[in-house]
Amino acid sequence: MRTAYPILFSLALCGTMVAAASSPSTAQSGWVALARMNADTAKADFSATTSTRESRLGHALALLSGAEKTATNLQNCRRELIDLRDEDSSDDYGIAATYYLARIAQHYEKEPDIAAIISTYRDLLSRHPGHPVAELAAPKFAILLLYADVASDEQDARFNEIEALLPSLKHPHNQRDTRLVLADAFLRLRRNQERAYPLINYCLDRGLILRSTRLNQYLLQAAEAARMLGLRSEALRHYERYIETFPHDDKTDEVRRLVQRLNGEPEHA
Amino acid sequence: MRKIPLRAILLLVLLAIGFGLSAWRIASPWWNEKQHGITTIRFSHWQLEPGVRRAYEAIIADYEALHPEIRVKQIAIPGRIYRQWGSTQLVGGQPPDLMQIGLGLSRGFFFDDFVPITSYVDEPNPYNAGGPLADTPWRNTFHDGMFGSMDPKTMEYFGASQFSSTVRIFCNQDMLKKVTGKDTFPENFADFLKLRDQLQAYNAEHNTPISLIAGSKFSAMILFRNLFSTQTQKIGSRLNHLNDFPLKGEYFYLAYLDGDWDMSDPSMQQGARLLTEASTLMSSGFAQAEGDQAHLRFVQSHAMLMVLGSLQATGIIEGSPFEVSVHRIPQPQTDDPEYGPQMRGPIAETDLITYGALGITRSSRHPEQALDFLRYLTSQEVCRKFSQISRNLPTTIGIEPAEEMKPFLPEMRGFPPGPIFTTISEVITLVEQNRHLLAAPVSSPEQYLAALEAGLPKAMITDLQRIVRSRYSAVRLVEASIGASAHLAADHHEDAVIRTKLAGQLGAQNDIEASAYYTRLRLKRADRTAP
Repeated sequence: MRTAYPILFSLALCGTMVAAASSPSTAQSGWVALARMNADTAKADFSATTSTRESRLGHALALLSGAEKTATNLQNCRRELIDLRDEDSSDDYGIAATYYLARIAQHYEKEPDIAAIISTYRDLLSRHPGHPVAELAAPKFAILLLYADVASDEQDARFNEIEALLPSLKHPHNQRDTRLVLADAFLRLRRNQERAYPLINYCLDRGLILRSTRLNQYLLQAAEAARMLGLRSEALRHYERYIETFPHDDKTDEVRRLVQRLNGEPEHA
Repeated sequence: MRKIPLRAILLLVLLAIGFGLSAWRIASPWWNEKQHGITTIRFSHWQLEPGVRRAYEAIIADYEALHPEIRVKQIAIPGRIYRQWGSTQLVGGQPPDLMQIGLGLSRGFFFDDFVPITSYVDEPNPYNAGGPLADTPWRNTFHDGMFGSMDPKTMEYFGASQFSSTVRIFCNQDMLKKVTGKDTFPENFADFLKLRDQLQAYNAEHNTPISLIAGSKFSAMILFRNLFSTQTQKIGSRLNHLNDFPLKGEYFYLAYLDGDWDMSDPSMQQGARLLTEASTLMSSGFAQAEGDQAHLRFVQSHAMLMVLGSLQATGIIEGSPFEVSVHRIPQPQTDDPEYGPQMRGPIAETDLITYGALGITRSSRHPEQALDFLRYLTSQEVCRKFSQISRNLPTTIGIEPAEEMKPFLPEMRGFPPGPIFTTISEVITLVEQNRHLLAAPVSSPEQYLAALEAGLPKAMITDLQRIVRSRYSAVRLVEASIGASAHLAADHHEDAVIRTKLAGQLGAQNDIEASAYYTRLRLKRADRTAP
């Protein structure tokens, strides 16, 4: 009886997330539990429902959630995903299975075949443009391409390939993350403010950066990049937004000094 | 018939009494609930400071008056055993309804043991109704926007906190006056050294063994980190290619492995000299002393100063038989001929970040009531009362701290600190193992730097590899949850909560994943160019 209380409460909590679902199906409650990282409840929910491609995908992901605990979970998860992909690789569940098989290969194999994973991501993006799961591959694809240990010419080509991918992305979180991965790589690997700045600015102007820790970092990076590029009014705009958004941050005093410097005013101590 | 020895009877009786007491203790909440409809909520924490427990008692009394059907019990457990005690409670399946999260509890995997409260943090706290925060989302009623209660791996909020802390120097004001003839505390490091010299003269004259700072591992760590970060401000700016200041320790290490700086850098040379001087401020044996030894030394007037966090203020101020004043750690000034050249200016402190949130345990029998009590605890009026009684800095916005706590408020005017040698275990161990080289009888910054130089590359690589591994682990941890959120977001386009959660999870995962690959690439390249 005691265990019923937390389960009921968790479901009640999760229920508020899904306003549209007044009486969620078992598969639906499985997804909600899994989103909450409650893998055991999710597994039970997906197992209890009629075996559909949706519930099988949910069950496989619930097993993936416990993959750190036992190797069997990972094996069973992989087997289910392979079946889902092989049955139909082009419906929602086949696409998701393909994507998660690549993610498993990338993060659970001792020596991942990076070329094959890159090829899967590239394939998902070109064959299913705009698909909500296939498009999740975009920032992952960018990370694998850009942070590989390759010669400078090859790296240039990779920067260009990711830049060319950007207009095809439909979902705001993928537009944002792929741009920020690219911008970070320009700054980290090339110290190239000129190509990094428009990418960060795009995300800031559209309000795509929601997490305050990220917004804090990228407002500063945009302001500093604009300043270095001689874009004074742009730099001031970002600095002022920073001060307005983070009036009590430990960097705010430094940002005020940078504004004074840009305005040619005497700096405060 | 054989006679039963009296000792055995006594033992049996004692056992029976013990068993009876235990059974009563366990059964009484259940009995109350069954017979009188009274629900008991238990919450545990490790804040043994007297002010905190007193504040909780007063707040519990108010809450019980407001909700006569609820009883609240606080369980205060010493920090040293909190993790073991808490883990046993969690594994046993009967933990308190609310537990303070931290000190390694749940090994950082909170979702196993605690219920996320994310879906509530964007709603106003009902206990703020009628006040200035009536319409403010619960999350935004905290100074840190509940940042300290959020698990960055999962983007879930696992609790709400009433605790934040700043570190200050506590001064025996009577002794300061006796030694210097004035009640003015040094404002910079040069004056701090003068105070040390005045105390030495006083000791010689009066044949007393008073130390300036009651040294301990904790005070050394705080003092050394604070002072060292003044000397690395300029090198930090020079190496900051990401335009994101202050420079993170990880990039400081990578720059070292790339050969961008070494121990001959003026920042390192002056930093080590500054620490050698700082060692002379502390009582001998500081590297081995525990905090309670330093505390005793201070209250017995064997030291003029001690370094402590604001949460301990009540105990120190009330428990000391002399007037105590509170100050920031004096730093060098930019016009200091020796330590000024590597500085940009006085260091700004970070805003009040909360820690040790109270989280609702998954096995709680009364999660709704626990959530209600948590909201009550963190409402503005209750936080004001908590702050006044406990002398804790308020975590909720719009509250003036008690007058005597104002010196603890963070000073956010100033410059970003420079990088220091603190990430994870290997570098910290190396630095701590060699700290004795800074203190008498060795007192050699040269030997200290040479010892660091010999061990740093290996320690840095080990720590950076650990960071990479832990980031990969964090990426794996949220993969399935992101998959589920993506599925729900696709099914419920109109649900802003789900879309926001997915966007947050993805942003965090992509950041962490990109950083892991970048650091791995830099390590690989550094390894190739290493001699």
